Amino acid sequence: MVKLYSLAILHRSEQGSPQLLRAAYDLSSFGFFQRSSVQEFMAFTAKILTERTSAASRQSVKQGEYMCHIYVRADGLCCVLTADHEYPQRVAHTLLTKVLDDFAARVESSLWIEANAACAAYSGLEASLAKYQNPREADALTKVQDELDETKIILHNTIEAVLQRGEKLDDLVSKSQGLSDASKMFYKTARKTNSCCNFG
Amino acid sequence: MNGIYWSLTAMDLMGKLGEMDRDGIILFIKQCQHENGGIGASVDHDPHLLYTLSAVQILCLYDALDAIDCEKIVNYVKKLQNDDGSFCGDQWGEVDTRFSMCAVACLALLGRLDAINIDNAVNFVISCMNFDGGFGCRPGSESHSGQVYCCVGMLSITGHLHLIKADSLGWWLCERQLPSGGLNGRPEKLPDVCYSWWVVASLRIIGRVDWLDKNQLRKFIMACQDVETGGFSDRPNDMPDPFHTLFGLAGLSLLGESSLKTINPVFCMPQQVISRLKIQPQMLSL
Amino acid sequence: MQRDPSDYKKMAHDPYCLEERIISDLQAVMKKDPNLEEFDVVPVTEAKNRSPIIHISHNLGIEVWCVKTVFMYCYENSFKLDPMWKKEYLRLERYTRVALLLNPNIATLWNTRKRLIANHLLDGDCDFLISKLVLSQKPKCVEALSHRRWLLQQVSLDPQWVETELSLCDRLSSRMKCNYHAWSHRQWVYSQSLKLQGFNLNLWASEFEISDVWTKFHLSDHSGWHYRKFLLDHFRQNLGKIEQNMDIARKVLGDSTGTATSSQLYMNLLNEELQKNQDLILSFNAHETLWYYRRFLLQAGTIDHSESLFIEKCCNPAKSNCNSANNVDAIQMRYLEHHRRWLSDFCL
Repeated sequence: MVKLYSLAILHRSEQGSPQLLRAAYDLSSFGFFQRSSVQEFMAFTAKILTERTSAASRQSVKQGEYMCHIYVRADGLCCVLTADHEYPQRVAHTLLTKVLDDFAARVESSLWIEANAACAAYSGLEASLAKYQNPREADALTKVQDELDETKIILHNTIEAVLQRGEKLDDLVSKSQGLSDASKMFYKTARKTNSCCNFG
Repeated sequence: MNGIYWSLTAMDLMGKLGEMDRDGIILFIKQCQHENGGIGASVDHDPHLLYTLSAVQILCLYDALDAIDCEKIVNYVKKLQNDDGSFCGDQWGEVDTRFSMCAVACLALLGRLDAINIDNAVNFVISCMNFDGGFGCRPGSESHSGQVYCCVGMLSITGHLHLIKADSLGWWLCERQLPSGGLNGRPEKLPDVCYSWWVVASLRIIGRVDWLDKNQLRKFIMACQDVETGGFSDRPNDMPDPFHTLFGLAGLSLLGESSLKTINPVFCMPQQVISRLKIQPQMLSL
Repeated sequence: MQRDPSDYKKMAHDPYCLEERIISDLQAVMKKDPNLEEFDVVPVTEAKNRSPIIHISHNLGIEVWCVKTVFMYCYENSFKLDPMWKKEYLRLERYTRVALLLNPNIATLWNTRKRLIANHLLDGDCDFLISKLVLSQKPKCVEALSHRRWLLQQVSLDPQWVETELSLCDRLSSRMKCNYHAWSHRQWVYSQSLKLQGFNLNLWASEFEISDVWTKFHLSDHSGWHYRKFLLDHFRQNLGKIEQNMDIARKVLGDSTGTATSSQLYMNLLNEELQKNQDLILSFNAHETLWYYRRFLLQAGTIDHSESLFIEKCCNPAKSNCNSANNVDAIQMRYLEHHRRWLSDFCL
């Protein structure tokens, strides 16, 4: 599958936790009753990764069937893309750069605050999410990928690998304030049942 | 019923069959047999070939075939064969090559392969062979390692392995091995411990198991053992269960693990049980 | 919420017990809205003072806290009732329906419903809805798909049945990658429709077109590619019938010359597929599925000397016009190695 699920723009200031400025989701491939939890988890993961990526760097992190691509600019503006494994990695990172350039050009940096009206009014994310679902459009992006800065993309095989020593994902989930009780419960059940193989 | 078979075979491979409640299990099987001879998943559940085979396998482990009416089972299996040689899983008519394997394995264990039309049965299985040498559940269906195991096993029991494209199939099966050492069931799927059984047993039957990197596979299987409970899971760090525990152990046995009994690659039962029953399924060599 | 199992007997005829009320709520929604799309268990941390059955825009949910109790209640009752005795079949229908929504892997309960239908105590409509809802939550559920195949052979069919089944398959294969059972069902539906109505080039062409779009968006789904092989094989097996309808064939396949025979059309198809496959392999790095599909096309009759040139092109992407292939990694090299080995075996 070549699929994009979410694009989120965050800002990380010197102090305090990262702020989610704007996000767009395509959750049509998830079950109706799971969508709100999935959305909360994508936002939660975006925050965790932003906190743990140094300025002016890029990471791609596997999380089960999904891949989170993250780019934090030197000025603390950050974009997280959740896609599947097939979405070409360099295309994903080119898209991150493009999204942030566009956002920064339209919303001035003094307004990079959570729940700010100017951020909420920015509508570029939905358009990008829809447009780049098409691998052919994505292909067009590869033409500009030579411009992709020489920043190395750090690859991680699990989200645990990104966490600091002593941190556990389970603990972060249960402490999180952004996740509803229902989503925490959803997480626990998902952990318990391996997607199994009833011979098929 | 399947759960009992998985657990008992796993225990037997480790030489611990004696720790299980033999009488209770045999009584349970008796209670699951229906008037038509078929055996259900549990008491009051409908009979099906899948559970009939598991029950016969359990009784063979215990050398207790006399505990139930075997002639009725033979009749049950016989009636499920269709004119084209295929088998239905039960009276409701679903056809699948898995059921062809269940039928012949069951009859072979009972020493009654003569009860069905073998030529037709073989022709149907062969009609499910794809250009890549693999097999699917019905004619034209996608090749799948689990179905490959069933079809190769069926052809081994009936002595028709010469009809297989052994080299094509052998390479297709070897290509299931991933850089992690684990095996998947189909292209671009995740590795899973149960395929250490389906794939390796098939390769062993067609005499091409040396084409795999056995050390890497062994490492993968060992990494799937849960340190707390000792059970095996599908992949490292997942929840263990009896299904993956049996197929993890069975895979290790095929790879020559000396602390386990030798397993028969066709029946997924200890070789000593198959030898006692004087069954010699066909095997290919390179 | 756990009850002592002996309570079930006492409760079985109490129409006002909690379980019965929940079952009735659920049944009412299914009756009111025959266009339900999805069913799911909804995680909520505690029971609130309202019905645990949720109905939002054609989706049916049940809160998790009551699932275990309701399931056990329905399961026990499903095995206790005899359909042929004093019209208990109405209650049996009610219990098996809910038990199956909550745990669809119990083949015996599907069989109970088959018996009710076979004895004309129940019509099949409700079972199409139940199995659809089950599949919305568990897209790989083989018991539900098998039940549908049985139904489709028993009940008188709606003229739209092929369309309905194919769109169900679309949903199942999109919801879960490499869904073997969903694609097997699709093949069965396609074959069954031909069995009933004879070879239909328009159906073939529409499936081939759908599969073209689908595979492009799901490159790594081997089942999707397999279906495409299945369709190409099916075309080849029906060359004779296609030859009888060449005007339609040329139209649906866009043959501009107007003179091609059915075998030539088939070879054109294979060659077009090979070209598309080549583009995909060069644009999207390291997809084993693409290499397997290529093998199929080659063995089906398009193999020629240019294959070694293609391999060279893959190893040395400077020659390719597509930038995204410029990190030929270890995995792609492995697939190339496999491909070489396959070629040498195949050509021998």
